Amino acid sequence: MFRSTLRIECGKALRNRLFWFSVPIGTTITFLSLVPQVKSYYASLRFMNSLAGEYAGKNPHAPMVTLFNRWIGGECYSLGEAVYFFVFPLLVAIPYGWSYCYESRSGYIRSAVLRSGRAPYFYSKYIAVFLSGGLAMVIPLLLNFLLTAMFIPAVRPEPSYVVWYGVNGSSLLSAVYYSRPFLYVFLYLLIDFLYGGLVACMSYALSAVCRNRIVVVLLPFVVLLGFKYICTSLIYTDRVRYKELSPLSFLHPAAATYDTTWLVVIAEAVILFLFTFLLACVKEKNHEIY
Amino acid sequence: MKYIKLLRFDIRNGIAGNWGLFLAPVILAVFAFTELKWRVSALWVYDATYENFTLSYADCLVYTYGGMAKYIPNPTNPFQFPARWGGTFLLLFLFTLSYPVRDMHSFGQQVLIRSQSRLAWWLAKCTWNLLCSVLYHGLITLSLLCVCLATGADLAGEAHAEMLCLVFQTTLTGTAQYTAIPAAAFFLPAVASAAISLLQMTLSLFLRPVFSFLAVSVLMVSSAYYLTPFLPGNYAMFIRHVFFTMEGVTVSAGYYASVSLIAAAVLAGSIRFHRYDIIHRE
Repeated sequence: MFRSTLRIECGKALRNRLFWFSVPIGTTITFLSLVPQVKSYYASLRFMNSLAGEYAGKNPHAPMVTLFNRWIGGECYSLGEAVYFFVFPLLVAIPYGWSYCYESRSGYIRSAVLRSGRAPYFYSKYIAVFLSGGLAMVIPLLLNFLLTAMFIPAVRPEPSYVVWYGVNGSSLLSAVYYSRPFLYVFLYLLIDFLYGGLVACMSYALSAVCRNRIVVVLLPFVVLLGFKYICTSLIYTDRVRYKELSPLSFLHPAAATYDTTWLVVIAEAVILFLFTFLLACVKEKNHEIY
Repeated sequence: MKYIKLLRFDIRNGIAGNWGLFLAPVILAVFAFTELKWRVSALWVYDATYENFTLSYADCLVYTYGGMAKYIPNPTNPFQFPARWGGTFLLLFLFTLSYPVRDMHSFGQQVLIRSQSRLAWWLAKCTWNLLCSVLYHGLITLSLLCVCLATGADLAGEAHAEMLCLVFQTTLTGTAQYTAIPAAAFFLPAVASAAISLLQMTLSLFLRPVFSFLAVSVLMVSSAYYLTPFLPGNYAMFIRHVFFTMEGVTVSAGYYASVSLIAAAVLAGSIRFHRYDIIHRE
């Protein structure tokens, strides 16, 4: 019963119109990073070519411009990057974060629970919301990485060019970045997938306390923005170097200001999971549906 | 008369019951004041006089609506969205987002049918939206005033432009180094925010409310990214005004742009709402 319910829920999550609205919107936003990056790459290439005669046989600074610091996750100064990593809580909640709120209000939940049972319905819903959020987060990033790779060569980053990468010795996974950059991108996409899914599940969990579908989709964004505000305003000072705590900042692979640690990434993921799972699956599962 | 009745209904249902609209500004004002106090006390490394600096009410207002200095894209200068400034405005947009749609699909539908005037209904919603903005920003300024009174800040003093530029990590190149900031400038963030909030309400007639909020969020990030008079978010940032930045936006242009945006939003909304299907949309 669980498998068939899961299949139905995943089908609803990934085949609904809003998922296919959210992913292209995210992809369009990433184009605001891709276009200027490709343009600037070709401009620097033209500049290097103009100096080819004068500097023949000298260092062409090839690792300065590489795929790994020009895709949306590798750079931290384009409009696309700024917008995408700011609005992603909305993009991941739009596809399916609202579904439980809608189904409990419309009464669909009653017939679904009657047919599948409580546990399969709630667990399947959680998994489906998680998958839809994770995919909505990662698909635009992955597309951007692949599209950037079509124009900019994947030169392995050189530690001596660290100022151009934003990944220094204390950054998360920095050793992997300089030795196996593709693995670094894969691992970061995995972290983004995890957080995208958990943020979408926040919408599902908040449906337990809020019955307004619009508010349910927007609340994770407000919570994360509020957390970022607290982090930037009250925790950070100019004199102390803190570790980045806000997911709005550390989900961006190239650290914009502060570096994060595995402890922060894992601890916040566990807290988010416990909060969403306990509220969505434990509390709501035992809640009266009639 | 219909319009007055509809507006009274909206005030009763959309403002009186919207507790976030009353609570959030107070919290934001207290946080902004505390943060400014900390930041100024941390400036003693630049100048010892900042250790026991007396803040003025104008400083608090400029800091709350400060935003960020002009951003120059560069690999060594990462873009950081000003979370406090963005949060201040986006919270208002959140509070004014769902009521018109919720009302249209519930009791307000009956009110709309019985009033027999779509225009009056729409104008009442626009006025409600403007009132929300005025109330929200009014409460922020009032709360800041109360905090200043409680902590003994200088209520009548002018804004300390040099200090504020240090806090915002920028150089003072604007007119504030020679002249005082006019009172009209202090109302501009509220007017610009009212215009964007109305734009969001109009957009939600064309798109789903969540997408209109998304569009407005993108507009706010773009405003922080580009210093241009064409992005209305710039008028809501004090540090982007000509008083602080030489190439900044002017107050008069801000008022013209905001009022034009309000007029355009009301007009576009009334045209759209005239043929809007209130039964089958959700």
